[in-house]
Amino acid sequence: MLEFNALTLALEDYPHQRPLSLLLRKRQGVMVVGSNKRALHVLVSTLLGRRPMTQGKVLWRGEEFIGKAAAFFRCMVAYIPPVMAEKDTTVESVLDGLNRLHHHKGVATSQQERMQEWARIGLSPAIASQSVASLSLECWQLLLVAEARLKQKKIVVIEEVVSPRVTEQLQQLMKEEGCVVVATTMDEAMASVFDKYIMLDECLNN
Amino acid sequence: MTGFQFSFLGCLMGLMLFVASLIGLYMWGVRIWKHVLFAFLKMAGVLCLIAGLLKLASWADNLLVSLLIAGVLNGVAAMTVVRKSRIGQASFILPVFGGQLVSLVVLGLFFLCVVCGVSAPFKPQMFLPMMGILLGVMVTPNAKALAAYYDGVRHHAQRYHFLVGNGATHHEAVAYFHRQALQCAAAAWVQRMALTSFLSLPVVMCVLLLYGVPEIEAALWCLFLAGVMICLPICSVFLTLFLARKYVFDIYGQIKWEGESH
Repeated sequence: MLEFNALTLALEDYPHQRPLSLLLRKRQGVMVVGSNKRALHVLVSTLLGRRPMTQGKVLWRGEEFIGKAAAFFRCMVAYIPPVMAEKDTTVESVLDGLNRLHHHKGVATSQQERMQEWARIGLSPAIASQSVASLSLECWQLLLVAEARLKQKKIVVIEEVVSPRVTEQLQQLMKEEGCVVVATTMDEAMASVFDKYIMLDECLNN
Repeated sequence: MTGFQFSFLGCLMGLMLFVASLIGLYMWGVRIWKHVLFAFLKMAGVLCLIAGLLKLASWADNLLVSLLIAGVLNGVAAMTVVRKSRIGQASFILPVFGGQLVSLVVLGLFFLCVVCGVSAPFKPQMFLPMMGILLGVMVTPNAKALAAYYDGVRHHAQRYHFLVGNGATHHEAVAYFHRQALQCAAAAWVQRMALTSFLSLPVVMCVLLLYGVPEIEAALWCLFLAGVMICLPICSVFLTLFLARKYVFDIYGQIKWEGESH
């Protein structure tokens, strides 16, 4: 159970925010819709403990979520950022980096498992050797959602969701693995994709 | 050990070697003779300064004075490293200075006392030249390693944030950048060894022989000095990166250079 308890973000442009409160149970997701890309990113960064919040708490099963050790995040959280613009970084090197983090937990993904999962969701094995900068946002998000499934993550935090294919995979993940999903988007049409949604602009411009 | 006996005539003859070369360059119309002259004057100036500092240290024969002079030399080296690595922030001089100084003193003393068996390592005639040699070999690998590390942090910031968001500790997330920095330091050492093996170390060995050091000891000294030359930049880079962490990452592990963009 993930709970936002009267959360306000450290954004100087928005001094009068309406506190965010939300409760997400297992198999539930929230779509945070906003027109300000930076504000959406600050929300995600706050959740991941990389920025301070001005007030409020984020709780996971009743305990403070932000400030938990890296080991907790490694076990429980899958963070899916927007596509990286690094031309000299390949998909394989990114996934190897993730595998190295998870090796001790015994859920480092084997190549075979990964290819099976990619085949299931319609991704070509050839993308492994491509540069991350050449991938489409949909493709990048699909392969990281696949990694989240393979590594048995319980909380998925994903930025800039625009593709129905991705939301379909997220919904499958919630249903089959009991995950909680926090997604952000600038597309208002995506608001009703999950059980709950937050219109961030309304909260910021209180 | 026999000292040199320089007379006024001897000095003039020595200077004539350089002046004759300069005249030859000028007469053959080689345009860079002015650059050669300025380079010589610059080198002479630096040598005079170093000789003055060493003379002061010998005269004082005091450990604190020697350490102070080593600190001054290290400060100049730190400024050179920051300039050459194009980090772009003068505040990095402090962590570079600290990282270099600690590794220099610890490894330098280890080399002198443990490896070479020197009983009085703090004698100015032993301590300061050793520090000078080690500083000289440390500057380029340090600069290249730091440039590689900070270029990596600037250009692969997204990779860093991705790993941290997925549960990497700070150390795990920057391991990639550390690897790049070490690779550069090692590559600079390999490049230097290619020159040093055939140029500098044989010269150093000949100078040692001139001063009556036995052949095997001279060869061993040069060999182990090469070992210190690779160890030193590695220790110095890691110490510097540890000390400089707060200049690059804030308390939340965010990269400061991106300002509010990430």
